[in-house]
Amino acid sequence: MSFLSTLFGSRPRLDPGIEDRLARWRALPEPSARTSLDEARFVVIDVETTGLDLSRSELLSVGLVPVGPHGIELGGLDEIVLRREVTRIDKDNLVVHGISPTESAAGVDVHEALASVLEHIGKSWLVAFHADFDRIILGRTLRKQLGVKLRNPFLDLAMLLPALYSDGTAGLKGLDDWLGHFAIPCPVRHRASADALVTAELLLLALAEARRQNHTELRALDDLAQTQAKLHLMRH
Amino acid sequence: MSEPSHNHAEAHDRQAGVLLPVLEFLRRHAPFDQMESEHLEFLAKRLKLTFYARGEKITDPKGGPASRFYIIKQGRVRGETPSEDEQISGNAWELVPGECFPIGALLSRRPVRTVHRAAEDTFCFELEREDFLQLNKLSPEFNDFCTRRLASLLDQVHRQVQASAATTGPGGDTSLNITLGERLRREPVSCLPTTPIREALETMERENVGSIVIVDEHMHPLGVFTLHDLLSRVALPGRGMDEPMGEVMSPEPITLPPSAFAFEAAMLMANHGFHHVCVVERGRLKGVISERDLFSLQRVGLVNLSRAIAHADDIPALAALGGDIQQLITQMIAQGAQVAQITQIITLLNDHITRRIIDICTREFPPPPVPFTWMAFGSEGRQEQTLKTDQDNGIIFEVPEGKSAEDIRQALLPIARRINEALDQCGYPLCPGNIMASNPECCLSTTEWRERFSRWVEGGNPEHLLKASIFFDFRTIEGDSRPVEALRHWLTSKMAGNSRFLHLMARNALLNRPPLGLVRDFVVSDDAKHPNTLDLKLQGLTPFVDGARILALAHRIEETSTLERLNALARSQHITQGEAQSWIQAFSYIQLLRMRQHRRQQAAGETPSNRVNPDTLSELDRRILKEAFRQARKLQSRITLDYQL
Repeated sequence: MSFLSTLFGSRPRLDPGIEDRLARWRALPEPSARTSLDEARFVVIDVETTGLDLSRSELLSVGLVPVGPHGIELGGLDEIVLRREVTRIDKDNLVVHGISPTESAAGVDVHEALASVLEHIGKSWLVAFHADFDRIILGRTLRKQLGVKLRNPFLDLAMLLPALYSDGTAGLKGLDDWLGHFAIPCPVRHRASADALVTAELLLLALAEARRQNHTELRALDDLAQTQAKLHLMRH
Repeated sequence: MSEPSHNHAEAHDRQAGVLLPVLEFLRRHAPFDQMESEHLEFLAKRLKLTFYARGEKITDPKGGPASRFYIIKQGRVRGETPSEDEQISGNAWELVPGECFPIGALLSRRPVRTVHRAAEDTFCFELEREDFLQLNKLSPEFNDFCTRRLASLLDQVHRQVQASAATTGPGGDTSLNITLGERLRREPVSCLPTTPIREALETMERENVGSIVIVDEHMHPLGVFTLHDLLSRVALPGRGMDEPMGEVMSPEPITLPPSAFAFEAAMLMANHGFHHVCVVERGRLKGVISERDLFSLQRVGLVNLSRAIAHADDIPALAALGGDIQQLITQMIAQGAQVAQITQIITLLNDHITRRIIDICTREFPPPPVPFTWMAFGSEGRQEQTLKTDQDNGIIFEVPEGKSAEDIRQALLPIARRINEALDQCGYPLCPGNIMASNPECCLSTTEWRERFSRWVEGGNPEHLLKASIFFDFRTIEGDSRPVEALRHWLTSKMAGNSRFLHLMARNALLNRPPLGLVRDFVVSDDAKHPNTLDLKLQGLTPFVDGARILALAHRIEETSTLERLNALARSQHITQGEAQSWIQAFSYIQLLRMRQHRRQQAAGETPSNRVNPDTLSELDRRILKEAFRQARKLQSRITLDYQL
């Protein structure tokens, strides 16, 4: 049934319990760009997928780290592994994301998992490193599986960091480069929650630097990241 | 019904999984490494991770009662205790990853006393006060860490209060650190010089005291009489009981004001061989302090020991006293006496013994052609000896008109050799490097010493630097001190005008870095003979000794003891009071740790060693030691700056 519903773009059939949860999520107030940096709440996310190809990769797990006005809330740290039956093992990517077929098979039911993700992120600003990737994968999966359109604003640290720290950072590209630059140790990379956690540490640095540069609202960070993204496009 | 509990367990595992990086970090540091997994998870789940840019304040005494507990994850935090005295810059120290603050303020719901500031970009884990208190209830290990009297002060480890508390052994009686005024227990028992002996004895009997002070009508003390004197001054000479006390008292008693420290009284007693000191305020007797009041727990008395040394007739008798000195020192350490006091007493007793040995040995020979002065070098010269130190000594003499230094030397060398051997018999082993008065190179005239020192200062090769570090800390032990003072004076002027040699000394001193790792831990030896240890003397004390010597020589300070050098440098404002205090405390602490270890090793029948494995120390000692090494690093940075190294 599910492949047909995807084909015709109709809404997937969902368990009533899940429907209720989605309704509650939809009813949440939309985030404002005028929110002050001192009151802003973020959820840093990191997705692990079956591959790096945006159009074909499938979502395996989501790491989530809530960041409130007083810092990273470690109690809210979560990693949700989606249950999937794996038919063909892609060894190359197993190395990248480290989620074994057994782990995938033992994951949470996809609808349940995605509903949890929505409850985690609410209508907060979402932060990721190379956020387009996370936005597209998560957005597509939510639309396909739950018929939900993910409209949370995304802040891309890969753009925001070079906009805030322009000195001597030209050569820094990937997450590892930036972690190295700030000497942030990362004990386990390529687990969604661990990646999200170090990304959240970079967000704390960025917020401190933004305050130092007298930015007061979320909007300013968004503008900085967008401008940087345009510059980035022009150069490449 | 099984579904929700299954979900719950699953959520629990998942949470433990995602918190793994945090748990792993915590498990690398005390006290978290001791805590149950369950409690650690309780903690990890309630933590927030925050960032402080360099220079940002984390805690502030003005911020009201402390509301959060901080664990440094990454970076460095500088703690500053604002000083009430504007003249003295407050104490400052640094905390590194794994360390926590504040504790005392959280437990006692008061504002912090310390400004904590990020010394570099810093990440901290933070726990709300309510959760901190909850964790204290849950985890006995955490509670123990926070509430042990000493541990609750960990964040103020640099402070004097703490340094002395930490050094307090079992039954910690810091009796030597209080003033005589505080120590006085009763009104003095006194009589007039005209009082008949019988009446005075009756008073002593009634008051149940062993001594009486003879005073004039203004309560000014004139003398002391003790039961001990009864036999020798009254009974044996056959004096009548009606004779006046003025005839039998020991006149000119030693006196101190009530503000003097008990330790000063102990030193005076030891120096003069009296058992009593009169406490006098504005000329009036306020009370009497006896040796027993000062050393209530000690079996071996300092005064008796000094007397025994002074009255020993031969070398074997002196050698027999060595054990008593050890015992006295052991008791002092156990009673929590301060390091400076312990080393002063060791120095005092060693000086007594050495003088007595020189006296006894010299008499075995025909009178020497000229008087000579016995000098001590190295740790003995700096008055920093611990129980067993090798001999480092020499002789200085003046050459009279018409005589040759060589002839005098030949006459003195046999005496010197006898003294060196006697010292060896009394427990001061011969110097393996032959820095001893019986070595012709160490038995020199005033001129020859100057020539020898000049050669080193002008040469400046590694051997010269090493010798300077031993010989330049010379001090008079016995004989006329004027030639030694003149030599000191000459050296001081020579050094102050020779920045090249000081520069070389500084560079040499900086080769010996305190064993602190870049990140957090101690750097320990990987040498197979002493695995995982560090050398408290070479790596801990020497940086202070060398640093203080260089600064002292550069600023014409003539003291030879490291502590006195630091105090003198602060008085002449070449370093701040705060620096002097911190360095003195750090140096003393390492010295104490070393003495405690020696004492333990000797008790266990092992050879005393300066090597210690930091893992075997208590958490508190480890932290204080680390802070002490950090102070050594600060002293070295000062030298680096001064000499642009």
